[in-house]
Amino acid sequence: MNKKREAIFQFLSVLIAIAVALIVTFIIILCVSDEPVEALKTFITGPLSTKRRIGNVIEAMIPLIFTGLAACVMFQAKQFSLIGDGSFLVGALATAVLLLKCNIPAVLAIFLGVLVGGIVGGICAIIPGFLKAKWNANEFVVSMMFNSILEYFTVFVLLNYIRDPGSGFVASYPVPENAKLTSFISKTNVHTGLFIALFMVVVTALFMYKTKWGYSIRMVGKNPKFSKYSGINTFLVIFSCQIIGGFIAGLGGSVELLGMYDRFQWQSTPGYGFDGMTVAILAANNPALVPIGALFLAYIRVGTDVMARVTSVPNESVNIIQGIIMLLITASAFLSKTKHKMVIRSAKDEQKKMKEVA
Amino acid sequence: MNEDLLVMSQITKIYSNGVMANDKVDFSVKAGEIHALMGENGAGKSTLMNILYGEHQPEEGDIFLEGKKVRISSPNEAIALGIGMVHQHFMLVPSLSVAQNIYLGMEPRKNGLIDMKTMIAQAEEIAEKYNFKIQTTARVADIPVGMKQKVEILKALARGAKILILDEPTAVLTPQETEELFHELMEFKKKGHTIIFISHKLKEIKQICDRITIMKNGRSMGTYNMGDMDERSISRLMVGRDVIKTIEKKKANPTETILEVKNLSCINEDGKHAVNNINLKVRRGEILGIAGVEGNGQSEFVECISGMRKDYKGQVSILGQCVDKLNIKKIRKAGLSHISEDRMSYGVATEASISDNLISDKLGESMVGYGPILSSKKISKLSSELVENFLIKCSSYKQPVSMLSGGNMQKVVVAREFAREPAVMIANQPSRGVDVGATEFIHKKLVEIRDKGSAVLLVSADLNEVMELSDSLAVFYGGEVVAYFEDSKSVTEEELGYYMLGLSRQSEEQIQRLG
Repeated sequence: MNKKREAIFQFLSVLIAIAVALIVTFIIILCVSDEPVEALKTFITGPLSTKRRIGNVIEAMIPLIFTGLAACVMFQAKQFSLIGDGSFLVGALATAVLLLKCNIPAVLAIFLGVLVGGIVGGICAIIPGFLKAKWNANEFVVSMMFNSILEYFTVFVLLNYIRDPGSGFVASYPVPENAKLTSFISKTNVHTGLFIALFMVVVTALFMYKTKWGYSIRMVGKNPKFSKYSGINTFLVIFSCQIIGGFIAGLGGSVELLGMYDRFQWQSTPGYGFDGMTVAILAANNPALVPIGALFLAYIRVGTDVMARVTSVPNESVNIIQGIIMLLITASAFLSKTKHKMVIRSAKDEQKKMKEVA
Repeated sequence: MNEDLLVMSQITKIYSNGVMANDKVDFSVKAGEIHALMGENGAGKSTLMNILYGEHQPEEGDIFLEGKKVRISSPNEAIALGIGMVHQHFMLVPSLSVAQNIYLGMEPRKNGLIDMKTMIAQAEEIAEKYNFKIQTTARVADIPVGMKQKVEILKALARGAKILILDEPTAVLTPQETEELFHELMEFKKKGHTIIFISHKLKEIKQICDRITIMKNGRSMGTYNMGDMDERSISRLMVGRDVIKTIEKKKANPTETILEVKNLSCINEDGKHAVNNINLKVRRGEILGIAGVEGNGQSEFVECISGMRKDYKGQVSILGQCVDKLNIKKIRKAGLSHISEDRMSYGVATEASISDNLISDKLGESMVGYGPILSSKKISKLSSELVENFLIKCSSYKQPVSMLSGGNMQKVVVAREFAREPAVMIANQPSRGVDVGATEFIHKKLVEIRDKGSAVLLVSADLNEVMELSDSLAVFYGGEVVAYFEDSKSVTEEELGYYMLGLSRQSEEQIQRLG
């Protein structure tokens, strides 16, 4: 089977997975809702009904792009780390601490704030990354446990160092106005972080496909023994891809904080790291496709939100969609018979061609 | 004996990677014969047999056993029908005893518990019935390869196999062990068993088989009586031309030492001395062959020199530079290229494209980019050149390697390793699982690189290859060099077999000439 057919097949299998997920969700909505037609309608068209809601979709897309990219880089090396979740949270925290505790000149505030968020996000990934690279400790388990540590660390810092006692809820002092990413579409919160996100898409795609380092990451993911034998430093690749993932997720945390919030107020992870994995899976680990995956997830997020507000269907229904999609796309046996049939057809075509040539 | 016991009719099989392994193949076996199934690698022999054994399902075609149509959807069903298979790679549990392996999954029981005594008694009984001298209580991990194969055969017989499929049974055996196996196969025949014998080796097949079916490119080239065929006609049907057995090369003209190994020892995972105090030198312009039955330290030895393994004692130097402490990247930079014996694990990344596979060892060089950036232009130039020069059959260098046949995959490995014109080329089983055409090509390239001034270390379990291609020859046994021949032509196959089996050993002075 040639590359084109393979790509078409992959695309179709994602579409079918999405369709199955939506159908199951619709059936559930039909069962639980008193007004299923209304619920479905708001779910599908709700996000497009007002300018503000369209804005909501784009706002929701921005952090998903960052964590989606982070997951892509790690997945390409077959590192299934959840560190994106912790890095996102601590990256945002680091930005808040920097801007509140140091006097950063206005011109540098955004740049430094976001950069430090990224760096600290990368630092978070050092421990799980090192343990995996050096002693082959399962990165999934280690990063998941480490995320708890990072969560409580964040609460500790928030409560003890940057909490504003004057605020009515647990939150930091307000982030300086001059460090905020401003909204550029009226009546929405769509902020300039979108451009940082799209810039990172381009940078990550170039990094993965046009640099030697990116090549090494991809090869280690495809066959680590082959990479080692070829002279690629697999330790460094496994270690660094997680730090790069952490870095990108950390950037996302800062951008989200500076674009959407006045104060740092997360006491637990907002969960974008997990969502990033869904995005990466939808994008087949290709950074260039991450915006599409993020857009889709953001759209159904806003759709279920709107539906929850208008009808009695809770917005947790989005988790069903997300869960089924992940299950179907990652299950390698899904559609394997169809694929085999395609392979056979393809092979027969080729045989015919060969015979014609002969 | 004229009745066909087993008929496979119009079998077509296409693998998930798009390879059409069998194309409308007809195959039949008569009761009580030894039937050879021959063909180059990738001709579809193993696929056909795996279908017969129920491991693969054909897309089209039927199987008839004793005239009745059967559907074999798993090895269990094949066994129930009296079909047994001995795979090329043994499927044994090393930590269990011989008897336990023979009766695995069908252990005799007493009061719900496994009855060891009966099991051992039964194992001994069946071994005796077939005249197999084997210690049934020994651990499989401790017995030699030839014995392991006997365990595999007994395993099939204990399950009531009447038709026995042997997939390249002699590949891992010494000449003496092969003789013994053949003797046993003749005994089976007398007892009424039917044997399907897959092999590459013309001589062996001539010796014991009654009829032969030849396959080429997934198709059957017909079934013939052995008596009507000579080696030449078989090989013509197999490859469509005469196989040139002798490798054409000029006399070697070795000069200075390039690779030097001093007192190399290493201990493997089982705590045994895998390599024990080896000294050797490979000089510019020569091919030093290492012969030996597999598992006598060759793999570990190559792992040490190539940097894949670091826990060894002794020194390795390339062009006078000590490489013990260097990582693989630096060892390769020092001038070492390495064709791995395990192509699928180390040689290629199958999901990646051909060009991705060709550049993996060249990241530090200007051939593939500028500084940290990859240049698609340079890569495409390099890839097209290598694909052309090394005759890699593909539609484009962007094709994933998994789409290629075994021989072409190996050509990708060879192309990559040759591209840098190395000072030392370590070729470990370079033609394993590769068809005759590709083998010949690889051999020619190895001679070519020797003439250009590289030192070549050839490790091979294929006697023919190692004897024909090498200029000088060392024999490994038990992790040690037991013989060294300055001129590889000065030794006969039989003599070599004795050294390989550890039956004889040269004097220390003779061996020391190598270091």
